[in-house]
Amino acid sequence: MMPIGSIYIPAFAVGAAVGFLMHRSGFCLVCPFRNFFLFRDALPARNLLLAVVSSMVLFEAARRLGLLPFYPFPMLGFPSVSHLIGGGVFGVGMVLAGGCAVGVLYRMGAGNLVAGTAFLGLLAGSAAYAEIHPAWSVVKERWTLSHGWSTIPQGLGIDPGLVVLAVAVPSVALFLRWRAAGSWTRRGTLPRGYVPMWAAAIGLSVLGTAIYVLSGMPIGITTSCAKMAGWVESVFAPGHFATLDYFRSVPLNVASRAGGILRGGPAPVSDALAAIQLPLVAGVVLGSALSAVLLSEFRVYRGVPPPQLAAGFAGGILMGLASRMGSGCNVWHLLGGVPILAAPSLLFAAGLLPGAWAGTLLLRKIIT
Amino acid sequence: MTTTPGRTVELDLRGHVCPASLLLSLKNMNAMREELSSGRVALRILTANRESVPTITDAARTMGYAVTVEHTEAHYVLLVESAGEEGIR
Repeated sequence: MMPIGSIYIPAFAVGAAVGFLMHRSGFCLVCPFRNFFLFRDALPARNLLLAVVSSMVLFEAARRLGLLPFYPFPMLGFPSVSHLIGGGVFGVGMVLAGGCAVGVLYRMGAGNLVAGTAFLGLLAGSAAYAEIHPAWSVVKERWTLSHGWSTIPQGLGIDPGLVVLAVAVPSVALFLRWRAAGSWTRRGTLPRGYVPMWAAAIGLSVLGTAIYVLSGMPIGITTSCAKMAGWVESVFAPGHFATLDYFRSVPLNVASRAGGILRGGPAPVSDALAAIQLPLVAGVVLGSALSAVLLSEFRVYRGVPPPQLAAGFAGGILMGLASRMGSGCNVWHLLGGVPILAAPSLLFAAGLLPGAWAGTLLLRKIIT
Repeated sequence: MTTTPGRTVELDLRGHVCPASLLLSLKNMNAMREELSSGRVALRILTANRESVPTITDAARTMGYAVTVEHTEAHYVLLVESAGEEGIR
Protein backbone atom coordinates (compact mmCIF):
# COMPACT_ATOMS: atom_id res chain seq x y z
CA MET A 1 0.00 0.00 0.00
CA MET A 2 1.22 3.47 -0.86
CA PRO A 3 1.61 6.20 1.74
CA ILE A 4 -1.69 8.07 1.56
CA GLY A 5 0.09 11.32 0.69
CA SER A 6 1.37 9.72 -2.52
CA ILE A 7 -1.94 8.28 -3.70
CA TYR A 8 -3.21 11.35 -5.61
CA ILE A 9 -1.50 10.73 -8.94
CA PRO A 10 -2.10 6.93 -9.12
CA ALA A 11 -5.75 7.42 -8.10
CA PHE A 12 -6.17 10.09 -10.77
CA ALA A 13 -4.54 7.82 -13.36
CA VAL A 14 -6.83 4.92 -12.45
CA GLY A 15 -9.86 7.22 -12.61
CA ALA A 16 -8.79 8.59 -16.00
CA ALA A 17 -8.34 5.08 -17.39
CA VAL A 18 -11.78 4.09 -16.03
CA GLY A 19 -13.40 7.16 -17.63
CA PHE A 20 -11.65 6.57 -20.95
CA LEU A 21 -12.58 2.89 -21.07
CA MET A 22 -16.20 3.46 -20.08
CA HIS A 23 -16.65 6.18 -22.69
CA ARG A 24 -15.13 4.09 -25.45
CA SER A 25 -16.98 0.87 -24.63
CA GLY A 26 -20.30 2.16 -23.33
CA PHE A 27 -19.76 -0.20 -20.39
CA CYS A 28 -21.81 0.97 -17.46
CA LEU A 29 -23.30 -0.58 -14.37
CA VAL A 30 -26.90 0.42 -15.11
CA CYS A 31 -27.22 -1.21 -18.53
CA PRO A 32 -26.96 -4.78 -17.18
CA PHE A 33 -30.20 -4.21 -15.29
CA ARG A 34 -32.06 -1.60 -17.34
CA ASN A 35 -31.30 -2.99 -20.80
CA PHE A 36 -32.37 -6.44 -19.75
CA PHE A 37 -35.67 -5.18 -18.33
CA LEU A 38 -36.33 -2.87 -21.29
CA PHE A 39 -34.98 -4.74 -24.30
CA ARG A 40 -34.05 -8.22 -23.01
CA ASP A 41 -30.49 -7.24 -24.03
CA ALA A 42 -28.25 -9.53 -21.94
CA LEU A 43 -24.86 -8.45 -23.31
CA PRO A 44 -24.22 -5.80 -20.61
CA ALA A 45 -25.22 -8.28 -17.89
CA ARG A 46 -22.75 -10.84 -19.27
CA ASN A 47 -20.05 -8.20 -19.16
CA LEU A 48 -20.93 -7.22 -15.60
CA LEU A 49 -20.60 -10.86 -14.60
CA LEU A 50 -17.23 -10.98 -16.37
CA ALA A 51 -16.07 -7.86 -14.48
CA VAL A 52 -17.23 -9.32 -11.15
CA VAL A 53 -15.63 -12.73 -11.69
CA SER A 54 -12.34 -11.33 -12.98
CA SER A 55 -12.23 -8.91 -10.01
CA MET A 56 -12.90 -11.88 -7.74
CA VAL A 57 -9.98 -13.84 -9.18
CA LEU A 58 -7.62 -10.83 -9.19
CA PHE A 59 -8.53 -9.80 -5.61
CA GLU A 60 -7.96 -13.36 -4.42
CA ALA A 61 -4.62 -13.58 -6.27
CA ALA A 62 -3.58 -10.25 -4.74
CA ARG A 63 -4.67 -11.44 -1.27
CA ARG A 64 -2.65 -14.64 -1.59
CA LEU A 65 0.37 -12.67 -2.72
CA GLY A 66 0.02 -10.47 0.36
CA LEU A 67 -0.67 -7.36 -1.71
CA LEU A 68 -3.99 -6.39 -0.12
CA PRO A 69 -3.49 -4.07 2.84
CA PHE A 70 -6.93 -4.97 4.24
CA TYR A 71 -9.15 -7.98 3.76
CA PRO A 72 -12.05 -7.43 3.84
CA PHE A 73 -11.57 -3.76 3.07
CA PRO A 74 -12.57 -1.03 5.55
CA MET A 75 -16.03 0.60 5.68
CA LEU A 76 -17.73 -2.60 4.53
CA GLY A 77 -19.60 -3.02 7.79
CA PHE A 78 -21.90 -5.86 8.74
CA PRO A 79 -24.84 -7.03 6.64
CA SER A 80 -28.01 -5.12 7.36
CA VAL A 81 -31.43 -4.76 5.78
CA SER A 82 -30.33 -1.15 5.22
CA HIS A 83 -28.05 -2.40 2.43
CA LEU A 84 -31.00 -4.05 0.71
CA ILE A 85 -33.10 -0.90 1.00
CA GLY A 86 -30.17 1.27 -0.11
CA GLY A 87 -29.71 -0.96 -3.17
CA GLY A 88 -33.40 -0.69 -4.02
CA VAL A 89 -33.47 3.11 -3.84
CA PHE A 90 -30.16 3.32 -5.72
CA GLY A 91 -31.58 1.05 -8.45
CA VAL A 92 -34.49 3.43 -9.08
CA GLY A 93 -32.16 6.43 -9.06
CA MET A 94 -29.52 5.07 -11.40
CA VAL A 95 -32.08 4.19 -14.08
CA LEU A 96 -33.77 7.60 -13.85
CA ALA A 97 -30.40 9.37 -13.99
CA GLY A 98 -29.32 7.37 -17.07
CA GLY A 99 -26.18 6.18 -15.31
CA CYS A 100 -24.85 5.15 -11.91
CA ALA A 101 -22.46 7.33 -9.94
CA VAL A 102 -19.49 6.49 -12.20
CA GLY A 103 -21.69 6.45 -15.30
CA VAL A 104 -22.91 9.94 -14.49
CA LEU A 105 -19.30 11.13 -14.12
CA TYR A 106 -18.10 9.73 -17.41
CA ARG A 107 -21.13 10.95 -19.34
CA MET A 108 -20.77 14.37 -17.74
CA GLY A 109 -17.12 14.36 -18.84
CA ALA A 110 -18.27 13.79 -22.42
CA GLY A 111 -20.63 16.79 -22.19
CA ASN A 112 -23.98 15.18 -21.38
CA LEU A 113 -26.27 17.71 -19.72
CA VAL A 114 -28.61 15.14 -18.10
CA ALA A 115 -25.56 13.57 -16.44
CA GLY A 116 -24.56 17.04 -15.21
CA THR A 117 -27.95 17.53 -13.57
CA ALA A 118 -27.74 14.01 -12.13
CA PHE A 119 -24.38 14.92 -10.58
CA LEU A 120 -25.94 17.96 -8.92
CA GLY A 121 -28.69 15.62 -7.71
CA LEU A 122 -26.02 13.31 -6.27
CA LEU A 123 -24.69 16.17 -4.18
CA ALA A 124 -28.20 17.21 -3.13
CA GLY A 125 -29.05 13.60 -2.19
CA SER A 126 -25.88 13.32 -0.11
CA ALA A 127 -26.82 16.52 1.70
CA ALA A 128 -30.36 15.20 2.22
CA TYR A 129 -28.97 12.05 3.80
CA ALA A 130 -27.16 14.15 6.40
CA GLU A 131 -30.61 15.24 7.62
CA ILE A 132 -31.79 11.67 8.24
CA HIS A 133 -28.46 10.18 9.32
CA PRO A 134 -29.22 9.92 13.07
CA ALA A 135 -32.53 8.11 12.46
CA TRP A 136 -31.11 5.93 9.69
CA SER A 137 -28.15 4.89 11.87
CA VAL A 138 -30.61 3.51 14.42
CA VAL A 139 -32.51 1.62 11.70
CA LYS A 140 -29.27 0.28 10.25
CA GLU A 141 -28.06 -0.95 13.63
CA ARG A 142 -31.41 -2.49 14.57
CA TRP A 143 -31.66 -4.36 11.27
CA THR A 144 -28.09 -5.64 11.27
CA LEU A 145 -28.18 -9.35 10.52
CA SER A 146 -24.81 -10.25 12.00
CA HIS A 147 -22.11 -8.49 13.98
CA GLY A 148 -19.60 -11.30 13.63
CA TRP A 149 -18.82 -11.46 9.93
CA SER A 150 -18.93 -9.41 6.74
CA THR A 151 -18.15 -11.90 3.99
CA ILE A 152 -19.69 -15.25 3.16
CA PRO A 153 -16.35 -17.11 3.56
CA GLN A 154 -15.97 -15.50 7.02
CA GLY A 155 -19.51 -16.54 7.89
CA LEU A 156 -18.90 -20.11 6.76
CA GLY A 157 -15.43 -20.20 8.31
CA ILE A 158 -13.77 -21.34 5.10
CA ASP A 159 -10.87 -20.18 2.95
CA PRO A 160 -12.07 -17.46 0.51
CA GLY A 161 -10.04 -19.19 -2.21
CA LEU A 162 -12.38 -22.20 -2.12
CA VAL A 163 -15.43 -20.01 -2.66
CA VAL A 164 -13.68 -18.07 -5.43
CA LEU A 165 -12.81 -21.36 -7.12
CA ALA A 166 -16.39 -22.60 -6.76
CA VAL A 167 -17.69 -19.46 -8.48
CA ALA A 168 -14.90 -18.87 -11.01
CA VAL A 169 -14.68 -22.35 -12.55
CA PRO A 170 -18.33 -22.66 -13.67
CA SER A 171 -18.28 -18.98 -14.66
CA VAL A 172 -15.31 -19.49 -16.96
CA ALA A 173 -17.07 -22.50 -18.51
CA LEU A 174 -20.10 -20.29 -19.09
CA PHE A 175 -17.95 -17.50 -20.57
CA LEU A 176 -16.37 -19.94 -23.03
CA ARG A 177 -19.79 -21.22 -24.01
CA TRP A 178 -20.96 -17.67 -24.68
CA ARG A 179 -17.78 -17.08 -26.68
CA ALA A 180 -18.49 -20.12 -28.83
CA ALA A 181 -22.01 -18.79 -29.42
CA GLY A 182 -20.67 -15.35 -30.39
CA SER A 183 -22.51 -13.78 -27.45
CA TRP A 184 -19.75 -11.36 -26.44
CA THR A 185 -19.96 -9.32 -29.62
CA ARG A 186 -22.20 -6.29 -30.00
CA ARG A 187 -24.05 -6.60 -33.31
CA GLY A 188 -24.80 -3.56 -35.40
CA THR A 189 -22.54 -0.76 -36.59
CA LEU A 190 -19.97 0.19 -33.97
CA PRO A 191 -19.13 3.81 -33.12
CA ARG A 192 -15.69 5.21 -33.80
CA GLY A 193 -12.88 4.16 -31.46
CA TYR A 194 -15.05 1.43 -29.94
CA VAL A 195 -13.53 -0.76 -27.23
CA PRO A 196 -15.40 -4.06 -26.80
CA MET A 197 -17.33 -4.25 -23.54
CA TRP A 198 -15.56 -7.45 -22.53
CA ALA A 199 -12.19 -5.70 -22.78
CA ALA A 200 -13.55 -2.83 -20.67
CA ALA A 201 -14.91 -5.30 -18.12
CA ILE A 202 -11.49 -6.95 -17.72
CA GLY A 203 -9.77 -3.55 -17.77
CA LEU A 204 -12.01 -2.27 -14.97
CA SER A 205 -11.27 -5.32 -12.84
CA VAL A 206 -7.52 -4.76 -13.32
CA LEU A 207 -7.88 -1.06 -12.43
CA GLY A 208 -10.08 -1.91 -9.43
CA THR A 209 -7.45 -4.35 -8.19
CA ALA A 210 -4.73 -1.74 -8.67
CA ILE A 211 -6.57 0.82 -6.55
CA TYR A 212 -7.34 -1.83 -3.89
CA VAL A 213 -3.64 -2.75 -3.69
CA LEU A 214 -2.50 0.88 -3.66
CA SER A 215 -5.07 2.43 -1.34
CA GLY A 216 -6.48 -0.51 0.63
CA MET A 217 -9.96 -0.03 -0.83
CA PRO A 218 -11.74 -0.76 -4.11
CA ILE A 219 -13.11 1.93 -6.43
CA GLY A 220 -15.58 4.12 -4.58
CA ILE A 221 -16.61 7.69 -5.20
CA THR A 222 -19.77 8.63 -3.35
CA THR A 223 -18.22 9.62 -0.03
CA SER A 224 -16.40 12.30 -2.00
CA CYS A 225 -19.82 13.49 -3.27
CA ALA A 226 -20.90 13.77 0.38
CA LYS A 227 -17.73 15.77 1.03
CA MET A 228 -18.57 18.16 -1.81
CA ALA A 229 -22.15 18.51 -0.55
CA GLY A 230 -20.81 19.15 2.95
CA TRP A 231 -18.46 21.81 1.64
CA VAL A 232 -21.30 23.62 -0.17
CA GLU A 233 -23.44 23.44 2.95
CA SER A 234 -20.62 24.65 5.19
CA VAL A 235 -20.17 27.70 2.95
CA PHE A 236 -23.81 28.63 2.37
CA ALA A 237 -25.44 27.41 5.58
CA PRO A 238 -22.65 27.16 8.17
CA GLY A 239 -25.05 27.34 11.11
CA HIS A 240 -27.08 24.37 9.92
CA PHE A 241 -23.97 22.49 8.80
CA ALA A 242 -22.62 22.68 12.34
CA THR A 243 -25.69 20.84 13.64
CA LEU A 244 -25.30 17.83 11.33
CA ASP A 245 -23.77 14.81 13.05
CA TYR A 246 -23.21 13.03 9.75
CA PHE A 247 -20.41 15.39 8.76
CA ARG A 248 -18.64 14.62 12.03
CA SER A 249 -18.75 10.84 11.51
CA VAL A 250 -15.52 9.00 10.72
CA PRO A 251 -16.43 5.71 9.01
CA LEU A 252 -12.82 5.10 7.97
CA ASN A 253 -10.61 4.65 11.00
CA VAL A 254 -8.21 1.76 10.71
CA ALA A 255 -4.59 1.05 11.45
CA SER A 256 -2.67 0.32 8.28
CA ARG A 257 -0.13 -2.48 8.15
CA ALA A 258 2.46 0.00 6.94
CA GLY A 259 1.95 1.94 10.15
CA GLY A 260 -0.20 4.95 10.90
CA ILE A 261 -3.95 5.35 10.98
CA LEU A 262 -6.17 5.74 7.93
CA ARG A 263 -8.93 8.15 8.83
CA GLY A 264 -11.63 9.71 6.74
CA GLY A 265 -15.29 10.59 6.47
CA PRO A 266 -17.84 12.80 4.76
CA ALA A 267 -16.55 16.00 6.42
CA PRO A 268 -15.28 18.49 3.83
CA VAL A 269 -11.69 18.23 5.01
CA SER A 270 -8.52 16.74 3.62
CA ASP A 271 -8.31 13.14 4.83
CA ALA A 272 -7.56 9.66 3.48
CA LEU A 273 -10.92 9.40 1.70
CA ALA A 274 -10.42 12.76 0.02
CA ALA A 275 -6.93 11.68 -1.07
CA ILE A 276 -8.25 8.50 -2.70
CA GLN A 277 -11.70 9.42 -4.01
CA LEU A 278 -11.41 13.02 -5.21
CA PRO A 279 -8.58 12.25 -7.70
CA LEU A 280 -10.58 9.20 -8.85
CA VAL A 281 -13.63 11.38 -9.51
CA ALA A 282 -11.58 14.00 -11.34
CA GLY A 283 -9.84 11.26 -13.30
CA VAL A 284 -13.10 9.64 -14.49
CA VAL A 285 -14.49 12.98 -15.68
CA LEU A 286 -11.29 14.08 -17.42
CA GLY A 287 -10.49 10.62 -18.86
CA SER A 288 -13.89 10.50 -20.48
CA ALA A 289 -13.57 14.11 -21.68
CA LEU A 290 -10.21 13.26 -23.25
CA SER A 291 -11.72 10.27 -25.03
CA ALA A 292 -14.60 12.40 -26.33
CA VAL A 293 -12.28 15.20 -27.48
CA LEU A 294 -9.98 12.75 -29.28
CA LEU A 295 -13.00 11.39 -31.16
CA SER A 296 -14.36 14.91 -31.82
CA GLU A 297 -17.45 13.91 -29.86
CA PHE A 298 -17.34 16.39 -27.00
CA ARG A 299 -20.38 18.65 -27.24
CA VAL A 300 -23.00 19.94 -24.81
CA TYR A 301 -26.47 19.66 -26.36
CA ARG A 302 -29.01 21.97 -24.77
CA GLY A 303 -32.17 20.75 -26.46
CA VAL A 304 -32.89 18.03 -23.93
CA PRO A 305 -36.56 17.56 -22.99
CA PRO A 306 -37.10 19.08 -19.51
CA PRO A 307 -38.69 15.87 -18.16
CA GLN A 308 -35.42 14.06 -18.86
CA LEU A 309 -33.45 16.76 -17.04
CA ALA A 310 -35.85 16.50 -14.12
CA ALA A 311 -35.55 12.70 -14.12
CA GLY A 312 -31.76 13.01 -14.14
CA PHE A 313 -31.81 15.35 -11.16
CA ALA A 314 -34.31 13.20 -9.25
CA GLY A 315 -32.29 10.08 -10.06
CA GLY A 316 -29.15 11.78 -8.78
CA ILE A 317 -30.88 12.71 -5.52
CA LEU A 318 -32.00 9.11 -5.02
CA MET A 319 -28.49 7.82 -5.76
CA GLY A 320 -26.89 10.29 -3.36
CA LEU A 321 -29.34 9.35 -0.63
CA ALA A 322 -29.14 5.62 -1.30
CA SER A 323 -25.37 5.46 -1.49
CA ARG A 324 -25.28 6.76 2.09
CA MET A 325 -28.17 4.54 3.23
CA GLY A 326 -26.54 1.48 1.69
CA SER A 327 -22.96 2.39 2.73
CA GLY A 328 -21.65 2.76 -0.81
CA CYS A 329 -22.65 3.09 -4.44
CA ASN A 330 -23.05 0.29 -6.97
CA VAL A 331 -19.45 0.34 -8.19
CA TRP A 332 -18.20 0.00 -4.59
CA HIS A 333 -20.53 -2.92 -3.96
CA LEU A 334 -20.63 -4.65 -7.37
CA LEU A 335 -16.94 -4.39 -8.26
CA GLY A 336 -15.57 -4.21 -4.71
CA GLY A 337 -17.74 -6.08 -2.24
CA VAL A 338 -19.41 -8.72 -4.42
CA PRO A 339 -16.03 -10.05 -5.67
CA ILE A 340 -15.03 -10.85 -2.08
CA LEU A 341 -18.57 -12.12 -1.43
CA ALA A 342 -19.29 -9.45 1.13
CA ALA A 343 -22.78 -9.92 2.50
CA PRO A 344 -23.57 -6.17 2.63
CA SER A 345 -22.71 -5.90 -1.06
CA LEU A 346 -24.70 -8.98 -2.00
CA LEU A 347 -27.71 -7.47 -0.21
CA PHE A 348 -27.16 -4.14 -2.01
CA ALA A 349 -26.97 -6.00 -5.35
CA ALA A 350 -30.17 -7.89 -4.51
CA GLY A 351 -31.88 -4.56 -3.83
CA LEU A 352 -30.70 -3.15 -7.15
CA LEU A 353 -32.81 -5.64 -9.11
CA PRO A 354 -36.32 -4.57 -8.01
CA GLY A 355 -35.15 -0.95 -7.82
CA ALA A 356 -33.86 -0.96 -11.40
CA TRP A 357 -37.04 -2.68 -12.56
CA ALA A 358 -39.21 0.01 -10.93
CA GLY A 359 -36.93 2.72 -12.31
CA THR A 360 -37.25 1.24 -15.79
CA LEU A 361 -41.06 1.43 -15.63
CA LEU A 362 -40.83 5.08 -14.57
CA LEU A 363 -38.22 6.00 -17.17
CA ARG A 364 -40.21 4.44 -19.99
CA LYS A 365 -43.17 6.67 -19.04
CA ILE A 366 -40.96 9.76 -18.85
CA ILE A 367 -39.23 9.17 -22.18
CA THR A 368 -42.11 7.94 -24.29
CA MET B 1 -39.31 15.64 -34.73
CA THR B 2 -39.41 17.42 -38.12
CA THR B 3 -40.64 16.09 -41.45
CA THR B 4 -39.27 17.03 -44.84
CA PRO B 5 -42.32 16.66 -47.13
CA GLY B 6 -42.50 13.28 -48.74
CA ARG B 7 -39.06 12.02 -47.95
CA THR B 8 -37.29 12.14 -44.60
CA VAL B 9 -38.43 12.28 -40.99
CA GLU B 10 -35.75 13.65 -38.71
CA LEU B 11 -35.49 12.56 -35.11
CA ASP B 12 -33.05 14.69 -33.13
CA LEU B 13 -32.07 12.76 -30.00
CA ARG B 14 -28.77 14.48 -29.30
CA GLY B 15 -28.14 14.93 -25.60
CA HIS B 16 -31.02 12.67 -24.55
CA VAL B 17 -30.69 10.47 -21.49
CA CYS B 18 -29.55 6.89 -22.02
CA PRO B 19 -31.48 4.85 -23.36
CA ALA B 20 -33.90 7.39 -24.89
CA SER B 21 -32.19 7.16 -28.27
CA LEU B 22 -33.00 3.47 -28.65
CA LEU B 23 -36.47 3.69 -27.06
CA LEU B 24 -37.60 6.62 -29.21
CA SER B 25 -36.03 5.20 -32.35
CA LEU B 26 -37.88 1.93 -31.83
CA LYS B 27 -41.10 3.78 -31.09
CA ASN B 28 -40.81 5.80 -34.30
CA MET B 29 -39.74 2.87 -36.45
CA ASN B 30 -42.78 0.95 -35.22
CA ALA B 31 -45.13 3.89 -35.69
CA MET B 32 -43.90 4.45 -39.26
CA ARG B 33 -43.46 0.82 -40.18
CA GLU B 34 -45.69 0.96 -43.26
CA GLU B 35 -44.19 4.14 -44.71
CA LEU B 36 -40.64 3.04 -43.95
CA SER B 37 -41.13 -0.43 -45.41
CA SER B 38 -42.71 0.92 -48.58
CA GLY B 39 -39.88 3.40 -49.07
CA ARG B 40 -42.19 6.42 -48.90
CA VAL B 41 -40.34 7.73 -45.86
CA ALA B 42 -36.80 7.47 -44.51
CA LEU B 43 -35.98 8.06 -40.85
CA ARG B 44 -32.94 10.21 -40.07
CA ILE B 45 -31.85 9.77 -36.46
CA LEU B 46 -29.37 12.16 -34.86
CA THR B 47 -27.74 10.83 -31.71
CA ALA B 48 -24.73 11.72 -29.62
CA ASN B 49 -25.10 8.56 -27.59
CA ARG B 50 -22.34 6.18 -28.71
CA GLU B 51 -23.96 3.15 -27.11
CA SER B 52 -27.07 3.67 -29.22
CA VAL B 53 -25.30 3.38 -32.56
CA PRO B 54 -24.91 -0.42 -32.54
CA THR B 55 -28.21 -1.07 -30.75
CA ILE B 56 -30.31 1.09 -33.12
CA THR B 57 -28.62 -0.21 -36.26
CA ASP B 58 -29.00 -3.79 -35.06
CA ALA B 59 -32.68 -3.29 -34.18
CA ALA B 60 -33.41 -1.57 -37.50
CA ARG B 61 -31.72 -4.31 -39.54
CA THR B 62 -33.56 -6.96 -37.54
CA MET B 63 -36.79 -5.18 -38.49
CA GLY B 64 -35.77 -5.45 -42.14
CA TYR B 65 -34.54 -1.91 -42.84
CA ALA B 66 -31.32 -0.74 -44.39
CA VAL B 67 -29.24 1.55 -42.17
CA THR B 68 -26.29 3.76 -42.96
CA VAL B 69 -24.24 5.49 -40.28
CA GLU B 70 -22.32 8.70 -40.63
CA HIS B 71 -20.23 10.48 -38.01
CA THR B 72 -20.62 14.19 -38.46
CA GLU B 73 -19.56 17.09 -36.23
CA ALA B 74 -19.86 15.62 -32.74
CA HIS B 75 -22.72 13.19 -33.33
CA TYR B 76 -23.89 10.24 -35.40
CA VAL B 77 -26.49 10.32 -38.16
CA LEU B 78 -28.33 7.06 -38.74
CA LEU B 79 -30.42 6.85 -41.89
CA VAL B 80 -33.06 4.13 -41.67
CA GLU B 81 -34.89 3.30 -44.89
CA SER B 82 -36.48 0.52 -46.83
CA ALA B 83 -34.15 -2.34 -47.74
CA GLY B 84 -36.37 -3.31 -50.66
CA GLU B 85 -38.36 -6.54 -50.99
CA GLU B 86 -35.61 -8.82 -49.62
CA GLY B 87 -35.15 -6.70 -46.54
CA ILE B 88 -38.70 -7.17 -45.23
CA ARG B 89 -38.96 -10.04 -42.79
